[in-house]
Amino acid sequence: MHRFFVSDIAYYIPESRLTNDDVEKSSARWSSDEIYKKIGIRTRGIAADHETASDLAFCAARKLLSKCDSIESSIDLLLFCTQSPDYALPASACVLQERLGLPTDCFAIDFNQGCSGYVYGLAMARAMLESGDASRALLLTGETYSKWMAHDDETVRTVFGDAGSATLLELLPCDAPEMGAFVYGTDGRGRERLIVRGSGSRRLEDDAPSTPLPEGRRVDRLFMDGPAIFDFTLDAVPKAVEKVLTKSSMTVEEIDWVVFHQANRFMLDHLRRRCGIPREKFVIDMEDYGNTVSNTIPIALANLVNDGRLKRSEKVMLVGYGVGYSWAACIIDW
Amino acid sequence: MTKDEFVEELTAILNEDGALSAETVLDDLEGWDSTGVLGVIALLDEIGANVGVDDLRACKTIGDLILLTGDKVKG
Repeated sequence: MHRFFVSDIAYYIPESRLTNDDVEKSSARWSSDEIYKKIGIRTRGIAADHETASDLAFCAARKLLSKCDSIESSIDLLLFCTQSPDYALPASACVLQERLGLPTDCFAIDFNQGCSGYVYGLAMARAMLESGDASRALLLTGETYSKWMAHDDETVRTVFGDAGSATLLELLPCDAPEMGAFVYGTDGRGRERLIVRGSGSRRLEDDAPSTPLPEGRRVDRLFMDGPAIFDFTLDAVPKAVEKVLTKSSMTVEEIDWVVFHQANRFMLDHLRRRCGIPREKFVIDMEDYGNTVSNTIPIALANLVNDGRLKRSEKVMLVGYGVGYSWAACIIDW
Repeated sequence: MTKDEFVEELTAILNEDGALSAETVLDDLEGWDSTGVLGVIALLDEIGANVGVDDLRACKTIGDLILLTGDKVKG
């Protein structure tokens, strides 16, 4: 019997930074301290003009793969989660297969998800590995929301950061049945709450917002309705947590670490209390990166591992939620 | 929660120095921005008032907010 497991994780933050002081300088309303107090973020990585999401994922993957000699040749599954692909076509995963030197018999595909994307990626990798369709998987995430933003929109500039991550997944012989489960959710009624209109084939003139945007917000740039998304998470996240625990026949007490998508500290504090999760096992790790969309969970996991806190065989609950609306939760054995 | 306690909580969340009353117009308050609304959603959730974000945004005054809480805010 074989079971999938995460063997290693790495991430990459672009060199250029946007600090709260930078925001304060260009904003009439927001002071540096207020931003930190409200959302718990001090600085964010911002991709350079020439740098794309696949470049960030590439850097993270190189960091990861350089630890093991010629492991590239054994990777037969490449999943790349992004909402900022290099092209409408071809898939950025094909570009990454070549750049990373992965074999040509590798399954490689992009998938478009945001804050829930990492958990969806794990679910797909697990399915492919445990069915025997793949033996070693590379799950990449890369996001550059900064390229979609209006430069004077503080509601998104203060929150989002750019990043890339890489996770290596493998099969391990194991006698014990897998403990953890995955649960998923989708509600397209929330599609307008986090959106970049005009970024695909749907024409702007055919895609007017169903309710007018607040004053000063541009219809053709990244738009986020933070309160509506918070409202959605208050309903979806506690239910997903309960469902994944029930499906795994476990209680919160049996979980060692809980990593939610790092949206902002205010939301995380409230959701933690609502879900009854003890503070000491609940991870908040976004101060130096911001909300990096599909990268927040792997960044937090990598830091937990590197700090020696997350250890093998511990139980980890991951919950991703946001743009779509889309959400997913899982409990995995580390 | 009493009406006074609720208004006191709102005053802290919306970062207001002056006293708020049922007649205070929300759009006149600097703190009634997206983070302020976020805070009010959290407060309503904590007291068990099931209020959608669109109903919340339709409120014009503090009094409208109190009405939305139904029987969760008394007095």
